Parts: sequence; structure tokens; C-alpha cells
Amino acid sequence: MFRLLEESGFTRVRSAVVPNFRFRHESTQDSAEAYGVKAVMMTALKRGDE
Amino acid sequence: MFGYDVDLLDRAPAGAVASFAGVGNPHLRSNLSAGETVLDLGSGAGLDAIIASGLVGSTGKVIGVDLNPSMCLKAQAHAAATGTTMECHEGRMEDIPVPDETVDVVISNGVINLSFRKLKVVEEMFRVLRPGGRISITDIVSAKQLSQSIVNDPKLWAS
Repeated sequence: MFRLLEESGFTRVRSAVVPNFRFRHESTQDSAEAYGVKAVMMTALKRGDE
Repeated sequence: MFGYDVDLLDRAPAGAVASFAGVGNPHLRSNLSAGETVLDLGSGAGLDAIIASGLVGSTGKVIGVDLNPSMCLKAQAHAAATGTTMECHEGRMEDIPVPDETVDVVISNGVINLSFRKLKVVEEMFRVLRPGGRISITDIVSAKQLSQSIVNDPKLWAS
């Protein structure tokens, strides 16, 4: 997602992991951890006329 | 829950809270202000849109987009129950039913990961934003390519 945002023209792309996110089912959580799946917050800007 | 203001959750319709399927809180960094136009991509039962509506006020505008028309109706009913208003359009996030450069802020919560065409979704968010506009989204990302068995298991899409 981070790369897609930059490639699409967004600037100031920032991300941070959402703390304490867990999937509802433990089995899903286990798979998620094995694949490095996490919830993130992303912000980005569409540059204005400058 | 993800840093949402407890008072806001207490005032929100129970149905909007119960149906919430977000993975974070896009409002923590959305910095919404009065008069802004906000697009909630994948607005669901409307919790994030209702919060946004309260932040942009009567001079602002909140537009929801959801694939499911019944969710649009539910979100609008929830908004009305709180004394706020929102538009909601049935549509796909890969083809957002909103004109070019008409939105100040795009928010989204746990929805974009469901698309198989994420580049198109990002391009659409860019298209609808005014110059100087911004996004604040929360979503699921993976550090590794998921196996096809996981991708094909619908039980894992919302669990």
C-alpha cells in the first residue's frame, strides 16, 4: 500500500502500526502473525498547486 | 476501542457500533475541521462517517460509498438517529461514484485490503481528492505474499 500510494502521486506518505489489533479468531491471529499481517494507519497528501 | 472517544461511541447508535468492522481509528490522524468534505470509502454501518459528520459540522459534508446498498440505507438511518446527515452511494472503491477533485479528506477503515485491484483504488482516491487533500486510512497489510489457500478462504476475509 505504501508503495502504491507513492507511485500514484501521493506525497508525505506515512504509516504506523495500529497497537493492540487482533483478529477475532485465534486461528486467524496465528496465521496472521506467521505471514507478518498487521493493521496499519496510513496518511498521505495530494500535493496542492504550489 | 482503537482510541475512539468513549463519549462519541456512547452517543453513536448501538447498531453502528455493533456492526463496526474496522481495524483501527482513521480519525486519530484525519484532523477533520469544520466545512470539509469527507469521503468514507467502504462506509458500512456508518460509525466513522457519523463521527466525521460531527467533526465537519453543518458546513461540511460526508459522503459514504459502499458496495452494499442496504449498508448505505443502514448508515444513513444511523446518521439520522444522531442528528447528522451523510450521503451514501452504492459503488465500488475501484470506481468511486464521486466527481474529480471534490473531496478534502478520504477516510477508510479495513476495506481496501478486500480489493484485488488496490492500485486502481489508490488512483481513484487520488482522483476524487482536491489538490492539497489528504487521506487517513487504517487497513490490513501483509509483509509476505499470502498463500492461495488463504486468499481463497472467505472465512479469513472477515475474522
